[in-house]
Amino acid sequence: MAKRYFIRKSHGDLVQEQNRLLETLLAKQDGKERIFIQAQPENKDYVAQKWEQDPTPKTSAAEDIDFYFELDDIPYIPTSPKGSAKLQSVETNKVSFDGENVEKLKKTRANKLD
Amino acid sequence: MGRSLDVGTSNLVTAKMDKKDGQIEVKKLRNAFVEITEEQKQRLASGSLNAVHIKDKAYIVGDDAIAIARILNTEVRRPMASGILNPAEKEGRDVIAALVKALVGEPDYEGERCCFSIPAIPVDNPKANTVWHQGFFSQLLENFGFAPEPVNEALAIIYAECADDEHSGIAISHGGGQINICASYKLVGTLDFSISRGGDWIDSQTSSAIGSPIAQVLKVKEDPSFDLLNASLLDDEIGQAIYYHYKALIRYEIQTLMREWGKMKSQLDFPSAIPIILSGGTASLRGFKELWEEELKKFQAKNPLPFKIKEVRMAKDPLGAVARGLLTYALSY
Repeated sequence: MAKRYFIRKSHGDLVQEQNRLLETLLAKQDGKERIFIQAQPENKDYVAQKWEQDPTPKTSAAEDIDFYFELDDIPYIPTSPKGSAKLQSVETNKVSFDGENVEKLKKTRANKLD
Repeated sequence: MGRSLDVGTSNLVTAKMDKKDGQIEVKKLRNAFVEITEEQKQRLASGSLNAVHIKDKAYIVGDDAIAIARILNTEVRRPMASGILNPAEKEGRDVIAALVKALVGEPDYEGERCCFSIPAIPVDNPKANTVWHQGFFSQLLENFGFAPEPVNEALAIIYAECADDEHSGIAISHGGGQINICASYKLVGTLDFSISRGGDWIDSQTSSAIGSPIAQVLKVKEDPSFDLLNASLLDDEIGQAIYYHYKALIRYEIQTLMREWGKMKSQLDFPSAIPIILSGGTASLRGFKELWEEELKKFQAKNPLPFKIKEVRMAKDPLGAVARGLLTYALSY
């Protein structure tokens, strides 16, 4: 399972930010996820320079993870919607929940793992 | 608990369990918008329409956007194209973000699982990728307080529709921008890919072929009484053109499936007959299943199939199948 984080323009110190993200992740996860960090094109040179100066995440568990630093052409991702939706009518249907489907999926998955 | 979000080129569909009655609530909204001016806003009495407001701009969204675009004689805008975020539609990202928030709602608790659909890489456009698309929706849902989890769109149909077949079968999701295909053998071996053609391809090709605007084509295609097996009933020319483009799309889809299957033969060998599930908004037209079976028979007459077919069937509620499958997956953990 890969986890992907995005560095935003508003972040002051990008290296500090990536270390904070890693520490947060390692505190929550088992530290074995692959992590991708991506930056906006306008930050590319700055991030690359900072990364060269200080490539090691400040965490003792850093060696347990595959660290990928990607500098793709990634636009800004809003942290929350800039606007709001006022939905007066949305097509809504009720369908019966088949709990057996969930149990069967668990069973197929368990057999797969065996 | 859990939630689900099917992020489609043409429609956004969400599903969640209603705790009061134990049923699944499925919401659908057309993934389209049109910007309106302040003057138009007053004139159209837009207070009764589905809308998104971003700073000082107003957008009519959903099916209302199609109707308003016709009235204003303008083109409807789409936040997505070919199964992923539309790179040419920057404002569309803010619109879709607001729509997702309104449709998915607040999580019941911080970190509630929300599975969302992602398309597979198209075999006929290998340069396309889903990195940015997946990252956008992961981040967005995470910011709302959910634990997002991307799931292949066609695999979600296997979760929804193939429980009685031990999750073995071929699921085909016919969307507006793409066709997504997944073959699964008990979830052990899977083959998934997409094709860069879908409902939009039919609309644009039909429009170009007969020189009618896309809006006219859509009017015929989306009429609830339109039947692919009696295509000229509503409009002789447009109806027939839609029919022939559907046939061409299905033929291309079957040929691509068999070709991709051939590449995977050693990894995916089904010992018993499997179902083929047809799903998606583009497959919702009357006569689609019959047309699909007809094209399969034609293919089969010339080429032996690499698997045995138990049946070809439509998903229950073809437009909601992906969202139901995603919810099944979310609830199985």
